[in-house]
Amino acid sequence: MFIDPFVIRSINRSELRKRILLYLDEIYPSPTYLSEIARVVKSDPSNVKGALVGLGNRYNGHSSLVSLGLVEVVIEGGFKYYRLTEYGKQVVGLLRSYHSYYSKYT
Amino acid sequence: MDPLVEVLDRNMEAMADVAVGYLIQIGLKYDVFKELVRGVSREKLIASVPLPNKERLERLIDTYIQLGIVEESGGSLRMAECSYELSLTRERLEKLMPDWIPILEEMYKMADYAFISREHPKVLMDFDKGADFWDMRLLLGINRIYRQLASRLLGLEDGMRIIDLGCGSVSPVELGSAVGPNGKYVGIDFSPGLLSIATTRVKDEGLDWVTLREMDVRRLVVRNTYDGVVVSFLLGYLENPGAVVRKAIEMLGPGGRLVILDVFQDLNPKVAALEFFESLTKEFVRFPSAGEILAAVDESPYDVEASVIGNSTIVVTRVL
Repeated sequence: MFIDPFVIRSINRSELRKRILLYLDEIYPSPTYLSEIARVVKSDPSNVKGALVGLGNRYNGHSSLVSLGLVEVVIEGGFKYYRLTEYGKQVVGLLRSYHSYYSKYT
Repeated sequence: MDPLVEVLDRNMEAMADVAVGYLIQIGLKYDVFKELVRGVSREKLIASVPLPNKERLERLIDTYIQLGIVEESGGSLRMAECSYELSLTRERLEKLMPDWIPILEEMYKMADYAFISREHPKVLMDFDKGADFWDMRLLLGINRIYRQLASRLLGLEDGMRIIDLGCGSVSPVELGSAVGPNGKYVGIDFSPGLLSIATTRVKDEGLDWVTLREMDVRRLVVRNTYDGVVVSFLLGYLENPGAVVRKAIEMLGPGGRLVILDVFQDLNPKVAALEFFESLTKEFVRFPSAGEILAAVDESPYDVEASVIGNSTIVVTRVL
């Protein structure tokens, strides 16, 4: 699947989105729920929700992790869980490879 | 013929076909052809097309001339009577690896931005500033094919010593793994960006026998000999590719092999279309011709045998 270099660059500019992806990669293929992600990435659940699915005008919904196809929402027993997609997994692979490159050039 | 050679050649041809189609689309989109139908001076045409980067526009016109779409005579440019045929035979289609299409589409978009300015931030063809884009290109299935082909032609196995000129970010892991812990892989590249990506991967994979050096291959001093030398898609960035080929031969030990993979001008009829997009990288000069590479091989003082395999591969063996 084609990975847009600008998606990788934009994730690298957001420490929260990057931390969420790395955590979801750690537990892949398991999904997890919002407050668990917020606890692990040490952020507020509303910020995490914004990064995952967009939130009003604070986060652009089009660049949320779900809209970019990196994370999928799983609904089970009336609860919402979030899981890394296969595409998201590839993006995390590149994020890890590009870590030293981005820290040097951005 | 080696099935990998077939796959590589058919995909290269398809890339050139698609690139010609896109160049025609650019001409239609920016209304470049209208005045060319009647005939127009180069200066008038360049002035009449409202694209800010005139240097790029000049390159587009030159590419049309090279492809036979436009004729230049007596200071006037005119549309030629030409037609292009896109061959979609089953034999060709079954060898296509379509993952290069989205990358070419990105390059087409970049070409559009380059008509505004060469330094436009959406143009990611700089080896350093756009090392991530280059890495994505190098990870493509078709590029894995040429690395597999290089590995097969060199007969890579545990314990071999090889050097890779213009190694990029992926070969150090793939070819480095092939020579194993008893071998040695040396990768040379001038881009610190690509090398930093390669270094991360080499460390992650624990390939201690892989050495990476940031260096311009033109300044390389031959100190050691190797069982194999790889020069893949590098020669187009050099004014004098023959000099590097001669240096590469000098690095071969007796019985050693040099594998050169590239788009050869004289073997790829629509090469100008690919060159238009590759020239978004400022270091790009032109694709080499197999003829000039073979002439450079002949000039080498060593006893060597060279063979051209398909349209994109030359193998040089140093005779014992």
